[in-house]
Amino acid sequence: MSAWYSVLAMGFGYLSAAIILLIVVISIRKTVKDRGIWKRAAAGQRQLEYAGELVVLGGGSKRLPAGEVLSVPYEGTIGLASGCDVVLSIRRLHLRAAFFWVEGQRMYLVPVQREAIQVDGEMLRPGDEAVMTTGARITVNGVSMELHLYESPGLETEKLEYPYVTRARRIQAHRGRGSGIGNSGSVRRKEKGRKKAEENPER
Amino acid sequence: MPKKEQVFAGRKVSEAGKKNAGAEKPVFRKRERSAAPAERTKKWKAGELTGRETFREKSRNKGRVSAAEMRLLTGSRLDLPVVVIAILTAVFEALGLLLAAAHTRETVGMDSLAMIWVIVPLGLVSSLLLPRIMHMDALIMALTNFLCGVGIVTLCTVSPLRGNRQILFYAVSLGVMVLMTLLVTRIQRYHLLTLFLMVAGLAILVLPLIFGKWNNGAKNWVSLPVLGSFQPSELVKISVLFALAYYFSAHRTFIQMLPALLFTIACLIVLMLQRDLGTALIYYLSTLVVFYIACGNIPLTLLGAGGGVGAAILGYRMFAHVKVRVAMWKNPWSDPTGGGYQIIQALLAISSGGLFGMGLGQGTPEKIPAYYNDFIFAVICEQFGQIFGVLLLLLYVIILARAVTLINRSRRSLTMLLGYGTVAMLGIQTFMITGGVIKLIPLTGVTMPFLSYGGSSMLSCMAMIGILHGITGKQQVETKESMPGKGGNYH
Repeated sequence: MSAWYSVLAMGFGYLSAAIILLIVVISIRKTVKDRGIWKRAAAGQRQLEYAGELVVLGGGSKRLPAGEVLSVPYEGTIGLASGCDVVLSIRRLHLRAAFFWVEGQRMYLVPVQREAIQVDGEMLRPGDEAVMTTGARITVNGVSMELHLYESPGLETEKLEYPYVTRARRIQAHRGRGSGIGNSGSVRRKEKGRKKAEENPER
Repeated sequence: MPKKEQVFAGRKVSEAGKKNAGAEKPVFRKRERSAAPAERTKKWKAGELTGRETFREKSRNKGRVSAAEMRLLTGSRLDLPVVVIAILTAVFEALGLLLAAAHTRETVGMDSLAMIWVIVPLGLVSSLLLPRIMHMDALIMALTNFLCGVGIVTLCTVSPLRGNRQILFYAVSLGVMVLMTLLVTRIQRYHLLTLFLMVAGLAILVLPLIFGKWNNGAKNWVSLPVLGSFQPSELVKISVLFALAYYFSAHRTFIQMLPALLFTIACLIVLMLQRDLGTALIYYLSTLVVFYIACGNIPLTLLGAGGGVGAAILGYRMFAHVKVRVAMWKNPWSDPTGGGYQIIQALLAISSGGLFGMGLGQGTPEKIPAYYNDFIFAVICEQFGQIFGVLLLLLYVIILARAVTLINRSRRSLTMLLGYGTVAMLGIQTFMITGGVIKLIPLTGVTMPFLSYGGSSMLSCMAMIGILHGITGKQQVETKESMPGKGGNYH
């Protein structure tokens, strides 16, 4: 029995090596194939990754010419910094000028700095919440862009309570404290000065 | 609520547009649709087209994804490779448990024989049926089942009692995995869930300090009347993952990240008091990885890494058993019967296994201390061979690489960070224990995911796989909603 068992155990050892080799080969092939399909799917259907796009209409620089299309993810920040989700190469723009998120077929934009951000001609102040639909025109420091949101049928993101923008953060932005990034101190001082000037116009 | 809210409803209508609005609608001439393309597609599908025409059709459809392919990706259709892997796993488990029963030839061994009827159907159902119902990733599920199967077969051979208990842990863990998948897929209030997990996590993490006993230089186990014996630090991994993902996801300032960082630091302090340095290292490195992915701040990440190195040096100077482990890692032969015994026995077992192993149940695995949990990789290499061991590690890499591919398609930063944290934690744990066993790095007392004996370890690892499945499920549901007929770009 012992000898038979040894033979069987050795045989099972070789069989196991063959089985795991087969599994590894199948898994690698499937992973590579699936990755290719996903790539094609994502290329054919951009709403899998992005919520929409911003089309530069005019007033831009060499780095941001008219006709340039910027992909807009479902949430993130807009600014000059390369770490932003939507990078706008516009002179004198703050590193993180605004944050945004997309719910359903609407995009919410909240500036955190005192930038010259206009939406359909209306000037936004830090903390103002602009709710935009497809076709809205955003102007940042003279560069105008048009928003196009992809159709994403069946997505009910409105119900979700994701923590991308909290109430506290909106209030903070409204007070001119920004998102805690950048020169928030100078903004706060300017805001205080402006309030004081409004309260005591004689001085 | 913000002080001011403005609603902009798209582009304004120009004056010219308003004037034209009352005018008569232009009449369009309806163009007759040609039947030629439909006929050509039919011919192409039937294979009746000539070579040149087929080439044209193929180039026209190049870059598109067929509906059948999308059904495969979204888990709506059974995939042949996954079916093959599930069957191979079932064959491996059945034959392995039969051999294990023949090897022991005792009552306990006969129990393993009966367990075939539990583990094989469980594996098949979870690999083939669950991904279709719950939109899980079928490949990750099938590979996880294979890893669990390898662990169970090995345990049933070297320690039948533990093997049988491991099958029960596996069954319970599958349930936990399903629950975690549902939680990640359905949950809408992450804030409350994270807070609950943080409070509960800290509460159970301090239990060993109060009720635990010192065992192998650490006090990380606790035995409670109802729950039995378990390792809280394994379960708290899930709390850490949720806390990191929630507070790092969009609260990107350092101050807003603080709750998660403070929670992790509190966990690390408790783990240091318990002297569970291996788990503390996993927590710490995972936090660093998630922090870097969340904010991309290299100076702060390097500062954190530097702090970790400082803490490691401090730990080396403070704890005597860390000094011993480092010394044994450098030269285990300096104390072959004492501190270096574990590593020497593990290395001997790996080398004696050779390329194809000594055979299931052969060799002397019981000579290695902790052969059923920390050193199970050495036992597997001894019994199945070094080739099997290397391929086993490759399976871990495939699972993690596949998970990263899936996570990258996540639409929200929260789910993305949750996924990356999970991958980091599983990857770091696997690297630490494998590296420790083969003497690549100093040995740390952590378990090998899915293979080692232990309910807590199996539970936490399967819960992590559940998190990955939850993220996949969300994406697959979204992808399914954009399938043909709903505006998708497929043919």
